Order: sequence, then structure tokens, then C-alpha cells
Amino acid sequence: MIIPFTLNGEKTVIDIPGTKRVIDVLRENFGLQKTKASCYQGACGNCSILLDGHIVSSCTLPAFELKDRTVLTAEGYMKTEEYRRIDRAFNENSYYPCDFCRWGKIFAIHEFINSEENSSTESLTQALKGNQCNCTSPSLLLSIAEQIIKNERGTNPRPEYEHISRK
Amino acid sequence: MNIDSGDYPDYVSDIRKEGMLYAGFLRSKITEGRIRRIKIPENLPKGVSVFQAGDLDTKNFITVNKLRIPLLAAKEVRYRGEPVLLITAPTKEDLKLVRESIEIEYKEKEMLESVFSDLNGQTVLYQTLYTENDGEQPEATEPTLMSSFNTPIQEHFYPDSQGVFIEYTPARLKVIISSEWPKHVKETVKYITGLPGEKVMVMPAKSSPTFDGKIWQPSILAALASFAAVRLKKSIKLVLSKQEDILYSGKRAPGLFFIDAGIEESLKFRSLNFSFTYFCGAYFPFTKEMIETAAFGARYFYKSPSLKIRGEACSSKAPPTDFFSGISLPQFFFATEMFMNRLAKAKEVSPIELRLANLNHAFFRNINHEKKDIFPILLADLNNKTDFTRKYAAYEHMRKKKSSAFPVSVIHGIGLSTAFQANGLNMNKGRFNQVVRMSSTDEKTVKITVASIPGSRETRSVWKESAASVLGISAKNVALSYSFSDDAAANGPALLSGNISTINRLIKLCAAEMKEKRNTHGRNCEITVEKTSSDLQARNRKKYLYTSATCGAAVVEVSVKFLTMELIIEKVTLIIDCGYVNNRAVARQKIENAVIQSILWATRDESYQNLINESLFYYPGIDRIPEIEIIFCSSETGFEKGIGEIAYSLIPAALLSAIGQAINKDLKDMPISNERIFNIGEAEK
Repeated sequence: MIIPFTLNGEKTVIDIPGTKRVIDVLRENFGLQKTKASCYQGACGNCSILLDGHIVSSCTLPAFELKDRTVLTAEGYMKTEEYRRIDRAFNENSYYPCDFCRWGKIFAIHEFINSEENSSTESLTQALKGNQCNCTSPSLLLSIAEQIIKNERGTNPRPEYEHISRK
Repeated sequence: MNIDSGDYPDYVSDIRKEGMLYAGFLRSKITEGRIRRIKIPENLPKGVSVFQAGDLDTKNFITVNKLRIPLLAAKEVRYRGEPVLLITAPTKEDLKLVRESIEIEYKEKEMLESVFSDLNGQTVLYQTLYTENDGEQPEATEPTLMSSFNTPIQEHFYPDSQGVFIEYTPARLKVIISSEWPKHVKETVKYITGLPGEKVMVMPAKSSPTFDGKIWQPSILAALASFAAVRLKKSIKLVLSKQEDILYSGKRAPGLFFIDAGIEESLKFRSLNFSFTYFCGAYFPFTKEMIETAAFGARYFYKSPSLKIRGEACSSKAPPTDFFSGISLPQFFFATEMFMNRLAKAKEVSPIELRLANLNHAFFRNINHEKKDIFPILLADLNNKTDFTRKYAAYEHMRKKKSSAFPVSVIHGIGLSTAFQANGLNMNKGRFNQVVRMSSTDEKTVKITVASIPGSRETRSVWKESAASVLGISAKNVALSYSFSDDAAANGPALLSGNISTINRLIKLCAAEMKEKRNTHGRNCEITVEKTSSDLQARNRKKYLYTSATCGAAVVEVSVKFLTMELIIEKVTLIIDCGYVNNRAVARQKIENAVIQSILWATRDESYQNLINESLFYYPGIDRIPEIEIIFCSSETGFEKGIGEIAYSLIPAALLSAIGQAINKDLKDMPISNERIFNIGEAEK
């Protein structure tokens, strides 16, 4: 099946079986190894990507679903200013998720920032619950995510962001 | 090479190389029996090879801690899932097809029902006996309480499955592997392939976020993959599937405990007897370390004028076990702390009071070089923080009145436990000694070389910050590196004697010596210093099995809905004396994770049999995690002690005691599932 789609900002066309899992397409056909395969059941969140700006598990997504859509993986999202701000907030709080769950957590925060959800702890908890990993502290993730979302949504002053953009 | 610089392979599963072969196992489907016949189709796809035990000839084993462990089952299989064949194929699809096309006929002995189902048939692999008596004859009186306790297996969860990549070139084998004991991998590959040391290069990939569970089993993968690579003259990638990884990688060994004790009016023990058995699966090379560690807990945690300890490690028909956080102490502390809570209930005294009367305060002063008794401080602070004594008395009152008094919609329970985490094993120093080497050529940068580094960036950052703070340089200028040579810093394994805090202490010692040498030798000359865990022993006034002990106590509060018997863990509070804390944010994360995993261990309703059908490790989402409060107690200890393991020893007993109080039942066995709680609760209603 010939599938045209946009991957990390570049238009691409690929000829593959339409039922191939997107996680395998990204890792095997495009060598995008930051997206990790783990449970293959859509449960752990390690294979998260952004499909048309929304977080999805790529292990349960068939390749035909990519047709004419936009995919952003960790490799592409790393180049954004938003990523740099999130990464900085993680580092400043000594929060270092492992390479497997890191992107699922970051994409969940990204999705929340851009959603209409209110910033309550309850709704944020629901947004972050799709990541199963034992590498870091869930409560620290919650508090850092709250801080990031407050800043991103403009309810707090953002002096440090200006500093980053100057860099 | 610097681990954070990007020139290291991250994970074995990420590695791809043109022309490489994929390797996988065909495993035994029976628990115990003889292999009658292996039927391999004649028309295998091109490029596919199948290896049997016979192909390895006399080298079908690895040696770990003097124990020979077979690589592929030859005539007998000893556990379900034991590798029988190694298959290599050019594609993953071919590998799957070949796996499905091979038939193995067995003569089966019997099916596994549970690890406890055939105690009489088990082989005792190691036994320890210890008796202490002050000359009195306490045996004349009946014990106040005797009880038995069971703990289940605990599976490791790795985001990256165990695996190895062998890059084959005629000049050398490059072994990229997720292992905590690269030195052992190298020795094994040298033996299996017959290659000299200079032709084998072991590069550790990132291991799991925490240390543990990849001590000796990766050597089996390395041995088989390197054998196939040399035989076929091809690069080989062997990565376990998620299901294989969960089912067959090293687990925490189950334990069975019998404890009895006699107690005086003063609440002090007059006698204390422990008898315990750990079931180690088909193979386990560290039975002595395991049993002596549990015996260490039994000997020193509580004191009694009469003390008897009988501990043994038995083989079982389950897959081989491996070390898990705390080695064997979490199982021991579950049993002991449950026993203490039952004793307090039977004597109608406060669990805190009972512990304070019997804790071995002198031992903790000695091993940690402290003047103050730490547990009275910990328990007083914990009591103040949680209001334990008042709540415990109130819930006990409710428990006794529950059947006849006022109906309630929610029933409450609160449980307490105390434990220690043993740090720095003083055993087999020749083999397991941990080494840190630090070198520099100028005053701004240093390189630290260690045997194995966990995948956790928190740990790496703490190590770097420790070196940087002593040397007065930026942590960015500290590089962490594995050792690729056969010399000292390639020793290990990482867990047995060199946990994270031990290595951190060695890094600080190295940094202090380097600073001194810079003053005398000059700031820009080449300096190398090296410290081993033996350097920490000099501080140990009395020779204990371990170098230091992290002390802690925990309270778990639960509620159970009376109608549905649904369990809600309301709050977990831990107080820990882990000495100097390098980075509180990092320490909190480590402890919080251990709390969550220990809750999983205590509450999962999984027998090994049920797990066979699963390929997904259940880890709760952020919405299902209880409130966890961690309090660090400032002690006099100037050095850091381990933090990653104590929660496994503290939480299960406190949790099950709290549940038992809520549902008015003396619980003895883990795990306690919602279904079990429902059944017990319904019976009590």
C-alpha cells in the first residue's frame, strides 16, 4: 500500500503493508529509534507519537491510518521551543524519566497544554495516567507538569522562556 | 567513551546492522521431564540455523559463582520455559515461522501447581544454622506465639527486555549487552568461543533504570549468541520478547517462614526462633549470599537471650531466580513484621512499644558508627506525623466491636513496620569487589570508570555531582565511563557489593584523594586514583556481613468499603535514616518507586501459573497511586547509605497488617488481592 504522509515536517511516501504497526514503520523503515516498542498492547505509553497533534500509541496503530496525516515523533518534537521548555523544567527539578517512558510523558503534557481541559490536578492526573513505567516518581511528574502547564498557558509570568528563546 | 555523550549504544533493541541475524529460543513447554525427540523440518528457509545442546558439546554451560548452569536443555528439562533450541534467521518473520514449525516431544514428569506444592521433593542447596543462648533455659516455657508466612515471587520490570548484540568481524567480537556484570560476560564469551581476551570487547548497553536482575542471566544470552556468531561468521541480535522477559528473567524468590517467640511481662523476648526456606527456581548461583543475608536480618534486628535461626535455600521447578532489591530481606521482614504486629495484637500492646522493647539498638549504633539509638527517634517522629497510636487504638476498638455494634460504610485499618536495608556485602571480596577509578589530565575535568552504570540519569547525576562538589568543578566536566579492560574497574557485579550509595562513597573517596594529589603533584598532570569497597571496611569497627544499615519505619493507612470490600490505600508514610542525602529530589523518586513496586508485590493476585498467559507487566497509572509521604531523618552518619530497597521491606507488612485490622483477619500470606479481601470480608460479615 502506498501511503503518503508528513513525518516530522517532511512530506514522505512509503510503500508498505497497510496493516504494519506504525511503531515498526517508524523504527524499521525510518530508523526513528526514540519511539520505543514495549507492550505492543497500547497500554504502556512508551510508543507514543503525535498524530495530527494528538497523542496516540503507535503500537496499535496500523500504517494505513497514516495516509495524508501528520506525524511528529520524538526526533521531530525535540526541535521545538516547547520541548526545550519542558526539558528544562524536568532538569531543574532533577526529574529524569528513562528513554522508554520519557516521550509518552512529554507528549501527554503537550496534549494537555493544547487542550481545553481545566488545569485541575484531577484532570491532569487523568491526562498522565497512560504511562506505565517504574523509573521515576509519579508525584514529582504531576507537580512538574502542573508548573509547566501553568507557564505554557500564560497564567504565570515567563521570564525564563524569554531567556531560552534568546539562546 | 562518555556514557552521556551519545557515543554509546543506548539499548540493544535499537541496534540494527546490515546482514545481521535475529536469534531466538524455542523453550520447553513442560515443567519437568525428558526430551524424547526434536523434529526439525528439512526444508528450513534459507539462512536459518538451529542449535541444540549437542552443538555446544562440552561447553553447554556457564559458571557463575562456582555453579554450572546449562545453556540449552540437553536431555532433561528442569523448568517450564527452559531454552531447548537456539534459532537464528535473517528476518524476524523467518524466526517466527521456524519456531512454529519445530516439534519437541517430551516425557513429562508432572505439572507445576505451585512453588510450594512439592516441598518434600526439593533439593536443599544451602543451609545455615545459628543458635545463641545466654545460659538460661527458656525452652521450658511455651512460646507466646507461633506463626507461618508466605511471600510470592516478584517479577522484574524492565522497559528494555534482556538482550545482546554480537557484532562479528574476523578480528574481534563486540558484545553489546544490558548487563550489570560485564566482566562475567567477557569471561563467559571467552570460554564459549575460545577467543583470547583481546578479541572480545564487551560494551554494556544501558541497563534497566535501576540496578537489579541482570546479574548473571545476560551471560547466558551472550554465551549462546557469541557461539552462533562465531559458528556462522555473522552478527547476531538476541533480544527476549516482552513475554519471555517477564516470565523467565530473574525474579524475587518466594519464601516460607515459621516464627515463634516467647515474651516476658516486660514485653522483652525470652526466646525467638526463625525457620525459613527460599525457593530459588531451577538454578540460583547466590544461595549462600541470599540465606546469609536473611539470617543477618534474623540475627541482628531484634534481640533475644535465646535465638535460633535455621535458613535454607531450595531448588524449585520454577525458572531461575535472581537478585531483586533487598536480596532476601524484604521476604524476611514481611514475615517478621507481620509476626510483631500479631504479637502486639495478642498481647494488646502498642506495636511501637513492643518494637522499642526488642529492637537491637546496640547493633545499629555499631554498624552505623552512631552514638544515639535511631529507632526511638524514627518511631517517635513517625508516630507524631501519622497519629499512629491513637488511630491504631481506635481502629482496634472498632475491630473488636464491629460485628455487634453500629454499622459503618467504610472500615479502617492502620499498620506499622520497621526494617533495615543492608548496604555493601562483605562476602567473596575477591570476586565481587567493587572498584571505582578516577583519572584526570587537567584541573577542570575528570573521568570516572566503574563496572556498570544503571540507565537512570538521576543516579548518574548524583555520582557526577558528588565528584564535582569534592573537586570544586562543574558536574558537566565529570565523565562517566565503563571499563572495557580486564583489570580492576571491570569487576563487579554491580549489585552484590556495590550498590549506588557504595559507589557514590567510593567516588567521593577518589575525589578527595585526587584533590590532595593535585595539591602535591600539580594541577595539570595526569593523576589516577582507585578505591575499592575494601576501603570502606576500615570504618567497620565490628566485622558484620554488611557495611552499613539504612533504618526505616512505615505506616500504611487503608480503608475498605464495607459493602463491596474494595480496598483503598489512603496513605503511606515512611521515615528513613539513610545518612547523608546527596539529592533529596532523586532520593524521593527512588523511594517512591520502591513503595509502588512493593505495593504491587503485596497486592497482585498472580501465581506463576496465571502469569504464563500474560505479556504485560501491570504497573499502575498515576491515578491509582496512593499519597506517599517520605520523611528523611537526619542522623549523625556522615556518609550516604542506600535508599532503593528499604521500602520493599517496610511496605508489605504494614499494608497487610492494616488490611487485616480493617477486615478483622490475621493475614499471613502475600499477595492479598481484592478478591481475597472480598471473600474474607464476606465470611466475617
